[in-house]
Amino acid sequence: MSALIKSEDRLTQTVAEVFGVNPYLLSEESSPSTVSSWDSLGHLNLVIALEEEFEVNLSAEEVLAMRNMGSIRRILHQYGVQI
Amino acid sequence: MPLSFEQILGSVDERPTLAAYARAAREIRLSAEQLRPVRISLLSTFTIDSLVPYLEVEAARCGFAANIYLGPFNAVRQELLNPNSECLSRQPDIVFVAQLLCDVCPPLVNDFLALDETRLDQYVTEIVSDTVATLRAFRQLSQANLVLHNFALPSYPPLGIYEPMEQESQTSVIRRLNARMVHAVKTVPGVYILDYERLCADAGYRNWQNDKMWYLARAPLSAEALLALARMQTAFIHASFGRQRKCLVLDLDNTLWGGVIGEDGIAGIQLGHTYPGNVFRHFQEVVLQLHRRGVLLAINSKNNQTDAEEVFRSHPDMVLREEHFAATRINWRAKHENMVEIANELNLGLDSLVFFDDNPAERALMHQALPEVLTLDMPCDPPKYAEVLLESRAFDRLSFTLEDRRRGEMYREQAARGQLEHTATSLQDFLDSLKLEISICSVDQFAFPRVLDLINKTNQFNLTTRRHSAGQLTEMIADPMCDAFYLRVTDRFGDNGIVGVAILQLKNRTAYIDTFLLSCRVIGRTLETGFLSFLVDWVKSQGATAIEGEFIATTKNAPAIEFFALHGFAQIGGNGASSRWRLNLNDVSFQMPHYIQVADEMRAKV
Repeated sequence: MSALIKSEDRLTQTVAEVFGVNPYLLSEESSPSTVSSWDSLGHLNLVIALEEEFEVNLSAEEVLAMRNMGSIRRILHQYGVQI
Repeated sequence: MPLSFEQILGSVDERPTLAAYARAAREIRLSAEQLRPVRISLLSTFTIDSLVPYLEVEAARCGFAANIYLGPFNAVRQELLNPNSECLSRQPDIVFVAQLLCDVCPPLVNDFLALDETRLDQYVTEIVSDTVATLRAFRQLSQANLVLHNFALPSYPPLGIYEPMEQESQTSVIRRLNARMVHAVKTVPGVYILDYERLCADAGYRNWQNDKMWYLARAPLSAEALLALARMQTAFIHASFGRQRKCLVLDLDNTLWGGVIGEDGIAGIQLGHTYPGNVFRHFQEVVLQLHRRGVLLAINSKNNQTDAEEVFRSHPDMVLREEHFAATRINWRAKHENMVEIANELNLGLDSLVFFDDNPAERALMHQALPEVLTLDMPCDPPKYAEVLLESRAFDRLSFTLEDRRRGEMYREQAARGQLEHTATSLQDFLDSLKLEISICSVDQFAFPRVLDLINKTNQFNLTTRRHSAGQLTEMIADPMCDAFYLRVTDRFGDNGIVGVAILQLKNRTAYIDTFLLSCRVIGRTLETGFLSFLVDWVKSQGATAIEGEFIATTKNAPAIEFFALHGFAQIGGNGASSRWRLNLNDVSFQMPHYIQVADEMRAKV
């Protein structure tokens, strides 16, 4: 079990906003199986929101590889995003 | 503490992202009881789920709580035609049909260059006739307004740079298809086209499309596209159910021209063909276009009247002239006092007015004193004036009638009538000299749009203020026990056009008044007596022995409050805001006023 992450973190904020969940309850393991509104259509919204928030253009492969918060963070790091 | 709507809308204006919209949509749902509910069905041939938060927030901006039903993926026809479909059983107020040509007719997109002219024509004809057949069948099942997206042009035309030279290019075929669709759709009442093609072009085809999401989930719309589409759909919701604004009230200095006439003088103000004068000249052209579309214009300005008049009469670059303004208040009084006078003079409610003034202090005062007036947040930068005015969509309508085209002229004729009224020695004298001529006919397809417009706009002389959608009105006209009439009036100053509507329902030898209304333009000329007298004769000929009606009080229909009592109806019930009245046709004590001529050839038609 990893420690809870800081709520002011931009990734956590974005995920919380898109899915309407409390940012303090999100962790690096948060995923479609732990967040009820994170279904396949919710994932679409999340991708659009991430691209807007971090000004990146994700590839289709990356969209599919985003299985939880931790993997999203790793992919964003590859774009040089500081979070 | 819940956020106010202004705070919520402010948050998306500051940061118009999907995350912000998703959050704002949730916050709006918490206080949606302040908003007017509207049931929306969103049917689509592609994945459009991400539109929902945008549409909820933009609808709230216009005062609506959007209750959105999202149809199953690519099941448009089933949802529209099956009486038990989820879409229809929810009884929507408005239905949006979003469609892509690659879904509706794949060969026209993918095999275009392999198709010969005959085949192309066949496909186009099929799409149009299928669509119309679906819409007609839908119309039998629902009275909701239906808004159909037209088709976008290809972002990569198959012939590349030669595309514009080829007569039968994909681009020209899609354009033809869109044009034929408009023509066909106009035969079904309450159906409107949303210019999706235009919307894509505004954003740019490359910005509109999100290719990756298209391949992954058949979700083609980018974030920018979602917002633009939600705003456009909201404009349709607003035009269908919202408050219709009728008059644009303008300031003068730094609004219609640059500078201050009282200080800079007629030669010093900015107005002309070069910068910065061309900005103001262009803004005047935009305002004139609104005027020609049927929007009334008025001036509310702090100036010396003679200074302003000099500009209107002698500045060579003024596009707007005194004749374009239905009411003018140029003085040093508080602007909200002027505003109330303008509303009274034009017989309009304050909530029909839009105020455009460059001075933020004047706007704040107006907003505070008269919140019913729509005070637009005018930008500091004059080149943006036109955009802000038009993007507000305050004057957007779902029709453009002959009455709209002639409205400015009609108000000038009205001013001439006002002059006559002042000089006439008595009301009788005035009515005699007007030379009123009326014709009354059953509502037909030509009168339909104007009649619909009156039913949904008329506030003052309106006994019941019942609003009907195009679908409902069509149904009433088709009902053999229901009669819908319109009243058309001409006088010595000109044609007033269609200014009255009556809808009667015949049941057990009694005629029930569903609707009886007169446009505010013609109140005070006893036309209601003439109209009613015709209706009495008509229902008698249909075997009725009595007429019954209701007066449903609103904040605005005081001008009609005495109607039943004045015409000898007896009150038979009612409480507070609503009263019921009955007139036995043997007891009718009024007749067609002698100063009203009835155009007989028209009357014979009914």
